[in-house]
Amino acid sequence: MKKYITRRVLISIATLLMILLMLFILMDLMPGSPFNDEKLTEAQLALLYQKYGLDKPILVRFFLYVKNMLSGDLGVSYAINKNFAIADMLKGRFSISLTVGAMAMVIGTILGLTLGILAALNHNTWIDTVCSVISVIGVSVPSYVAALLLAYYVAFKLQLLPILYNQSMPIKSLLLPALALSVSPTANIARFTRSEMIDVMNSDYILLAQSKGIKNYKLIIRHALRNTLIPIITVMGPILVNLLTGSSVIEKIFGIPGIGSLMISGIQQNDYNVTIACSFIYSLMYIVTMLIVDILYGVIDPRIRVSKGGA
Amino acid sequence: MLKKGLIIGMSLALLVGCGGNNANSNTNNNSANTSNETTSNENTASQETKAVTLQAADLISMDTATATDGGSFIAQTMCISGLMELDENNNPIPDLAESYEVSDDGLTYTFKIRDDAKWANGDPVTADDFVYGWQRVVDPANASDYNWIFETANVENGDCYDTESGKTKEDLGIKAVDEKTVEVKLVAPSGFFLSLLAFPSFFPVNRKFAEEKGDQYALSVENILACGPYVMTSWTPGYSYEFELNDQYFGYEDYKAANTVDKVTFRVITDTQTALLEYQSKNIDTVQLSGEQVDANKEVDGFTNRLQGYLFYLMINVNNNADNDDFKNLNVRQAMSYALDREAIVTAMNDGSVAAEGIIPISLACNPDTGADFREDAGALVSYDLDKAKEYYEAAKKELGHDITLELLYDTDQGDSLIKAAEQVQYFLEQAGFTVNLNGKPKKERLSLHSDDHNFDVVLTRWGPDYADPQTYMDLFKSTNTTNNDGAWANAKYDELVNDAETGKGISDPAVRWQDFLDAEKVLVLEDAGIVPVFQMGSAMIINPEIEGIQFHSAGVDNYRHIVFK
Repeated sequence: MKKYITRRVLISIATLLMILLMLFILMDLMPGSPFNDEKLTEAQLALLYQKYGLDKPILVRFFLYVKNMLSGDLGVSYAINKNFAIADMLKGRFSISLTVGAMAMVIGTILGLTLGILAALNHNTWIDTVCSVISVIGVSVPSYVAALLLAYYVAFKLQLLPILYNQSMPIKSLLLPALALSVSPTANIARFTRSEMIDVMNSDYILLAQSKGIKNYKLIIRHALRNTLIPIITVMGPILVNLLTGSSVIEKIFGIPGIGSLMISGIQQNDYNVTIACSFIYSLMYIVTMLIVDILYGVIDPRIRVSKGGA
Repeated sequence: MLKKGLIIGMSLALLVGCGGNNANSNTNNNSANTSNETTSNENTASQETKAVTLQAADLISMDTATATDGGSFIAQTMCISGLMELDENNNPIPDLAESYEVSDDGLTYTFKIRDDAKWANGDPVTADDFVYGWQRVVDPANASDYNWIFETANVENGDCYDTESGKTKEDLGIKAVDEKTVEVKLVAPSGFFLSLLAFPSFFPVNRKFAEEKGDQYALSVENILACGPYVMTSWTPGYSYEFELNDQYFGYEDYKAANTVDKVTFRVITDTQTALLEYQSKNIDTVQLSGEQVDANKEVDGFTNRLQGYLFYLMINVNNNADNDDFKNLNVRQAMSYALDREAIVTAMNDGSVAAEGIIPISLACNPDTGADFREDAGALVSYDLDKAKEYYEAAKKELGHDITLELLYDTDQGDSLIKAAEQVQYFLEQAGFTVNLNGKPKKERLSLHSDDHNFDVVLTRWGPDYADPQTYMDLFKSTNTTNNDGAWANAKYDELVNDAETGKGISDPAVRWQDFLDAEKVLVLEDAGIVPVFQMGSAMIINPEIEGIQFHSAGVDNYRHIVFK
């Protein structure tokens, strides 16, 4: 297992460096510049390029960036919050995005598992049909539609929750965006749980346990659910990363100063350092999540640990 | 030396406003909205804080040397004062200046700074703070986008930002005569110099404070020092920034007496749907409306159509090395100008924009003698006449021997109404016979295509005025302007008129200067159709009818310092 993890970590670091280099090259190929304003003369542009070191060759910039990055320096913003250290910009925003993503994941997991288990245990009944319909709707409705509906009915009409994110009551004001974001994971997890659970419930060892007279709730929680969770955990990793990276629209709608909206602004305004830092963090999150999922997978199912460890 | 009153009457007559900015007046009443934090109108000896929350875009910079956008300038103007500020009619009025004198030749300005002008930390505002503030803008190390502004204001050695000029920031024509006296030397009289003093590039910076903060200066609330009516009390990028009345400001008591709001919060909201819901929930006091929200809210109390200074026009590529030579043909350009039904275009946009009549926008500048708006004097230089457009098109086709196809470059990331405008321009040009291919790009890419590569046929572009004078537009199309005149339109008569206004007879005679600009615009737009004006940008918004005092300036910085509850 140790050898396996070490190898995975090394591969991850190499992948991240490649991603970073790719990002540098892509930024360089992007048309326009962060300063390409109609009012700037060529002399002014030259001054700006010089000030921010953009006049240096791409490889020099890349190695400088990696070197500075190791000391926590991600450069400064050229356009969004001029001269702000990117690391500082990310700190506050990252925790907000993480909070809303995690809340959505928790909501999505609880609702999804509940719906999936309910549907599976009541296979081919009206409960199953209702749960399936909810899942289909959940998969089909984009999160921004859910966001606008929730903002209008729950926040504006019923005034149950704030419309916009509010720093003084973060959890309460993030509930609505988290709900909007959780629609899709709820549906995905529900569908997945349902099919896995039906398979597991029909397996021989469950039938054996049932025949041994193990109580129903024990059977479900100890035996069926545990085995159902293994494949579900593998899909939860990507779902979580999708939640964290795909929340830019939700952030815009609810006025959340998160990392998703920052990355979109970075791309739109050619703020290279912002775009690179955000993209890099997303890549890092994705790779780390996948790593954790793989490790968890091994923890839950020893068969995998043994086979991979020996590989 | 001439005295202040006389100066305003004479050499600065150009500055006198045309009798009000027609952009907006918050005269609505019968309010349905109150701020959630306010005490509303019941201000009878109330100790509660009067506060407003305004919808805003993210704050980019609080450094007067590096800011480039309107939102940053508004925030800076909240907490930092200059020698002058603009009143509601665009006239410059003293702020930190107690008095000023101008030499007979109009080349030397001497300002006396108020004795009670203080920074929020108790330091007096000194003449050296202005010298330092100005020098920071021209210092190549700061790479300021506005480093040229002193040159435009005719300040002596205003070109010192250019390292090739052989000058340094110390050469800039501003001097601290003593602790409270600033002397500014100009190379030629400037009609808009005093107005420019209200622009943040001309603001003071506390030398000791800024040097102490180093590269962290102006990057957080703790690293900003106010000398204006408000102090910045919080700043969370992407979320909000707040200001509270500054009790160290010399006018603090007057502000309190005028019932000016104690706290102004700018809340960053970019989604138009939720912003409107937030306004309707009475949580914010202003909201910007998108084109599709306008019709449903036109009758709402507080609805305001705010006319901005931005003028959108078609820049046509007549470069010698352009791929398409057709646009050198005058008939082609005239056909384009007559083909556009500008009223229909702005109706489709439905965002408060108005049809352009020339390159100079409405409410930018006034006749130095009569006070009439430039547009009133110039009249409409463009009109919609499809028959004429077709005639010109046919004539062009005959001369060129083929039909005319063009690619229209425009922005896709600057709002839906601009995309609608481009589609409308396409429609109307095609009515006259053109074949138009739309080429939408994000603004940065669009700029790169025509500024760097000169690779375009026609681009729907814009210019926002830097100061309240026609010169800010007229300079764009001089044949010597290689930075902005990307289409390379050149006309000797135009150059002659603009040069005469700026460096010839116009220097000493404001009436000649005015007439030169009127004539130059006629050459540019009417006679030679060097560019085709399309519309002047507007923005529709709702302002809580219970508040007033927001001053919009079509050139210069909008002023949010004087908000009061009615």
